[in-house]
Amino acid sequence: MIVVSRDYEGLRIAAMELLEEQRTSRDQELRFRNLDLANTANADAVLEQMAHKRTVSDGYYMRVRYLFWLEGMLKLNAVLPELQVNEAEGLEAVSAARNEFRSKYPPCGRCGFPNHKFIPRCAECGAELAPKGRT
Amino acid sequence: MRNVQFEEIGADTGGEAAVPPSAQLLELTGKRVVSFKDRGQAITFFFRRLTAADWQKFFAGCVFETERIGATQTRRIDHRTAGMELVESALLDAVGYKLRDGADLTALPSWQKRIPAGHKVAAAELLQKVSESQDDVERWFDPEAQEVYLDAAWGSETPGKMMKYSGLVHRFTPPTAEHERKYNRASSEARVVGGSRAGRTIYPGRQELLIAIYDQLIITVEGYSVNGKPLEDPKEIRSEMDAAHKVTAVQALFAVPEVESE
Repeated sequence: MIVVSRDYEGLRIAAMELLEEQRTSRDQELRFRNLDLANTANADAVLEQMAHKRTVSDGYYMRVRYLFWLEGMLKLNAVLPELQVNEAEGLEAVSAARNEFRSKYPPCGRCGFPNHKFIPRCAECGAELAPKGRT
Repeated sequence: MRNVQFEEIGADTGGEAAVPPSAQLLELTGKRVVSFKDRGQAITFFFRRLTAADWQKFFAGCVFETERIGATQTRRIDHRTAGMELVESALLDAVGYKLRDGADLTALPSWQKRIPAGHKVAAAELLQKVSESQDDVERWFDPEAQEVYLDAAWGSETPGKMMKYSGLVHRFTPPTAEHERKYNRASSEARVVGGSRAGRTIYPGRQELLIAIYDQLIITVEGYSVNGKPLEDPKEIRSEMDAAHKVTAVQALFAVPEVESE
């Protein structure tokens, strides 16, 4: 039996996948609206491709949501008693996932939207992105 | 001040019914009566008062698991087994069963175990029937306290019908970030069986924590009575309030509202 709050590698994976989900949810919403499913031959395959890819068990995503919340509260300097070891380690795992995410999707200098490394314009605000790094 | 409303609910009612004034407050002491109809026949169960220990045993027996197979997520929620045990352990009397030889069901040895499983499940669901009020009631904002309104089925005056109490008020000291943290943490503490990637997630119950938070934050309630007197004293509220109502009230306290915007 795995105690989710202490499986930090599993939490890192789940955090990365949730960050990717947040990034793609807007794109997916637009794509879904424009998709004519009735006239799409492989509608099931298209929907399957658009579905979020989660690779660990559900308990990990629940825990990561809690860690995201805790991270936000700490940034706001909320008065909270000392962190438990598994919370501190969990926050480390989330932080590692955020660094990995930033390196994969550098934020636009104007609006902060995380774009793919090699696209010329920001998918959110249209700002021109520098060839290396962002505007 | 809120106006607690009450009515009878049942399969064939379709509206409010006259209720004696004594029933206007939800009386927490005494026997619990649960009544429902099965194919037109009214069945009424009489329970001893359910204690905090009864509810703790029930909560501990509830199962909530999820499993992901490919892109499909399956959930398993089982309150039935624990509910049937709750009914069997607290049932004092049952009315409405006609035996062919005219004998009294409750005179038989271990008669509680002879009650049909479906009836035990139905009774257990009625014992737990409490939820956040969904009615469009006028809600007051109090900067010093946070109010939660509950609706509950409790007791029966007419065979086959349950009394429904609406707008039961629980008034709390506003929770701190630490209360919220405990609540969120308890929601996130899971175990996985069968490997991190394709395993089954088992969520532990958090009712014990919710009851502790209730006892810490409750200020006053409206709509309840103990031995015929309105329940007012916080110490008495902590000791007398039904545990299922405590749990539901704290869940409502932390619930994120569905925001309507145009």
